[in-house]
Amino acid sequence: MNEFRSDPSTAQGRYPADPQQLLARAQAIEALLKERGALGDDTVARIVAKYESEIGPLHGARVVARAWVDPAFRQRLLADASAACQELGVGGLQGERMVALADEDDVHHVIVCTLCSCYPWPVLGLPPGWYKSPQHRSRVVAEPRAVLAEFGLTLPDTTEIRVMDSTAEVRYFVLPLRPAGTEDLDEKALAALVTRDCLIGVALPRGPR
Amino acid sequence: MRNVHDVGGQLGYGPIDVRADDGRVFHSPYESLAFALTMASGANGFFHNADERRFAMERLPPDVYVRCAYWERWLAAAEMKLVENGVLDFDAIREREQTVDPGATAPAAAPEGLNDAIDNLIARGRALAGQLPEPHRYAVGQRVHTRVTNNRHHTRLPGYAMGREGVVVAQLPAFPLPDAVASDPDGPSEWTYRVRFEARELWGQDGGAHDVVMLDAFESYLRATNPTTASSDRETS
Repeated sequence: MNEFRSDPSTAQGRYPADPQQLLARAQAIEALLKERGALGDDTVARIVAKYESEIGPLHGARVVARAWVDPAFRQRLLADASAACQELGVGGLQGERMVALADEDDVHHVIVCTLCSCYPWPVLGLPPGWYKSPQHRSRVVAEPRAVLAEFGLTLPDTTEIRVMDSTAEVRYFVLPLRPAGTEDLDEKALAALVTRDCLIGVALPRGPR
Repeated sequence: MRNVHDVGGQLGYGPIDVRADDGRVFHSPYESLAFALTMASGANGFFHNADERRFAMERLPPDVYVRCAYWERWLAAAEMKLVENGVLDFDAIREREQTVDPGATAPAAAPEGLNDAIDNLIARGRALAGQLPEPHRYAVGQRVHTRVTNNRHHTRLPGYAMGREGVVVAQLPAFPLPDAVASDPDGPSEWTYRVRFEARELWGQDGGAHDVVMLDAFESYLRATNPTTASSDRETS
């Protein structure tokens, strides 16, 4: 196995922090790949469009809402989240093996990846900046209640908080409890209550006032 | 030995800037480009797996790693692996980025099959999960200890959870062993397990009485806890 060693490109001189320099480097790589016959003019735009406008937290919200209204679906979701999500047309890269962690009255889950930024892309899109930050990654495993409080979420002392560190290839998301007072809402209205942060576990879905 | 990326439990990073979140996926043109180049290179077969790119980021010198923005690390890892895997020449990239318009090229059509390969990668992902001829070594409910290593290579066992006692809560599929495949794409696969640790096992009395950390461990990260040396139930007062 390789030992840690410095990349020669960074050992001499720092990696440039200037976005213009970074863009020049990225553009240089793109141009060289095109000249090598490995990229087309539209390749980058096609990929970016998918993750900017097609793949995002709305998919996860639909999955949660379905689980709230359909007990059989909920059971299938907890048994094999990737297969259940596929029923709703949700799946793909970074979600090949997903697991939904179901909150209970006295159990709350929160997701992190302390080693990098593993995240279930098909149900949530690409992660927000704070999820990838060393602040979240370093602290939520050691002081989850302090971190949740910064998001405005305070749970009873007796609630068990389970922090899930995504260290292998399974990707996790939280199946939150259905909020009280939502008995009259249909599936679409329920999905609107479910935010990205609810599926990471730093917020709870709120019912109508 | 712990590497700079292994931040779980590290002090000093301060509060989370929750207000900085504006919902946008990318905030600068280089960010989306770094992401798309990584994805396209994966679809082109220029990268073998995610662990070799993770390992590339982990090989950044610590001061550089800390100061790099998130997508900057992606760009650095993409560049390192494109060079190390023999796709692009390091000096050619550095020469090109100095030119007035580094992105200027003749019109280029996507190579045959690339768009389909990308769509397929995004919609179906990679077939990583597998089975092994031998059964899982550890059962649900079994108490296990994590190994302690002076790891000088890529691994997915965080430092905060080394040498700790936990309990297996789920048997998970076999995946390629990151420690091996980060530098050898043909490395072996191992069963994985979801392991539960009480916070006080990890953080001593500073751990919350009702807090738990779970992580996914490859089989070789674990050994069965010797019943005679098992620590007694920790105080929960």
